[in-house]
Amino acid sequence: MDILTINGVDLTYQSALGETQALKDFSLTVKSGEFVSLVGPSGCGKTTVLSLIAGLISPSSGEILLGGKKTGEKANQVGYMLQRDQLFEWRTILDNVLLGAEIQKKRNSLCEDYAKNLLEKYGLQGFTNRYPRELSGGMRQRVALIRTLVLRPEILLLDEPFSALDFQTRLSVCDDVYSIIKSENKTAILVTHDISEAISMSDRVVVLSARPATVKKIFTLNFGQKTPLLRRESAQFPVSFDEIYKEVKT
Amino acid sequence: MKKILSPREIYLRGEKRNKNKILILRVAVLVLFVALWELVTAIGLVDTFFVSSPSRIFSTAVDLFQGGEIWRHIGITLIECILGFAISTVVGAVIAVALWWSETARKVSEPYLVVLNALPKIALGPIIIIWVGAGVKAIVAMAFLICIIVTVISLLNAFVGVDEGKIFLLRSMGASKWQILRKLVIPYAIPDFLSVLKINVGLSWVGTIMGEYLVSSAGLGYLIIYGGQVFQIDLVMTSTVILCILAALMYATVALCCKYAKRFS
Ligand SMILES: Nc1ncnc2c1ncn2[C@@H]1O[C@H](COP(=O)(O)OP(=O)(O)OP(=O)(O)O)[C@@H](O)[C@H]1O
Ligand SMILES: [Mg+2]
Repeated sequence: MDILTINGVDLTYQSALGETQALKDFSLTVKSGEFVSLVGPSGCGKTTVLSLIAGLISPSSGEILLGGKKTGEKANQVGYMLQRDQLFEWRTILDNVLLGAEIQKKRNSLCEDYAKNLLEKYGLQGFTNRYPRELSGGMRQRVALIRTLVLRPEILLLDEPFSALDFQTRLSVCDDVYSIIKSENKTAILVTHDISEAISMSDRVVVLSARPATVKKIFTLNFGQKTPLLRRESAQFPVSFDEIYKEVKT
Repeated sequence: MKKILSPREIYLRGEKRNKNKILILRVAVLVLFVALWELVTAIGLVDTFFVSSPSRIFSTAVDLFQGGEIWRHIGITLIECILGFAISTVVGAVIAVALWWSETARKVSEPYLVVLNALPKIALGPIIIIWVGAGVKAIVAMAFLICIIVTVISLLNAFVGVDEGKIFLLRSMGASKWQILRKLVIPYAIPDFLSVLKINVGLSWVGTIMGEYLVSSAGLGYLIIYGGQVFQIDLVMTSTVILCILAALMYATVALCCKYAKRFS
């Protein structure tokens, strides 16, 4: 089943300096439960695609269907994970995780239990009443992911979520996030600059052209349910890397 | 036998000694200053007519407190100062929120805020007197004017300094502007608000005393001015000392509240 359909979308930003066409005739479909990565040159319009899916901006033309419904002005049922974890330092971990529920006036004991469950399941038990500053970078990123999961979104949008981490942490957090997303059975779209990261996590890698972004080529990977670290060790990995790297470079 | 200390113990002991040393030196400076002052006046090196002396200040204070009249002056000045402080803080915070809310209002008000900030508020004294009359109101108005601009500018700066990424996150969760204000902007600006409070304590004293210099028939500022006019340096000095103590007490109270609030939040 297609959960997301982007159909011939154009997007032009207006600003004092002039017009910037970010997307041109952009089309993409994503199936439920799929993990898709977007890679492309910097400034090409990757974040713009996510903002459109989240309903934070509207397309200049074309349409976006999420779960069969047209996205409107109002924010959609998506979970957004950003480059930096953006935890609120003055809130406990539990209160941070429940931020979205509070905003949508859904905070109740049911969803608190769900949040505590998730924290416990993903190795953060004992931290529910601590503050973000007491956590390591990797743990903070896991909290940020759980914060998006608490709202039970239809789709997760990950905008370079690991780029603020050092390489070692990055590999292990990548593994963690992958297994969390898979075990919660979520659809995810990952934006990244790092081709190997894209290959290690996704079912499909979408290569975008330079601005205005269009879909240049889509690579389907066949790693099955292998975790990112195992994928990196497989013989297929460097082959896929070369293929995609060539496409990105030209 | 002497116990052998670990490097940590030696360090801690050194730190403690250092702390004690600072405290002793602080007290010593005060004692030395007072003693020297008393000495030069006692031996007639400097005339007490011009500089008073610690013992005369002390006896004047005793007289004032026995007379009971001083309590009224202290009370009036304190009330003026606290009113100026409280009103300007509340009104300033409300204005800052309004300016954060409306970008148009923020842009329109920008040059005015800059000019008002640069203007020496005492220049507005005569206008204040004409508008609100020459009483307690004028003095509160003076304290208010001195504090409000700083309050608005510092709070607004804190508000607009909120991380764009966090606003983006809240918007992706479907937050309204009101929710962004309540869940993010205000909690984020609390440390700045606390430092504004500390600045305002000092400024509201400036405003109050300045106001009392301009118009007043009671209060510590009035006593100082009156003492100056009739060349009673003892009264001037004593009132100034009382003022110092009050201002320090009020600052300490606010600082304590801030410390408590910080731990609480
Ligand atoms: N709000 C905006 N107003 C005007 N122009 C914008 C706006 N947001 C983005 N742009 C422009 O649109 C283009 C695409 O931006 P976008 O942030 O989607 O790129 P990106 O691929 O995510 O970049 P990066 O790799 O640096 O994260 C850029 O040239 C950017 O300058
Ligand atoms: Mg981006």
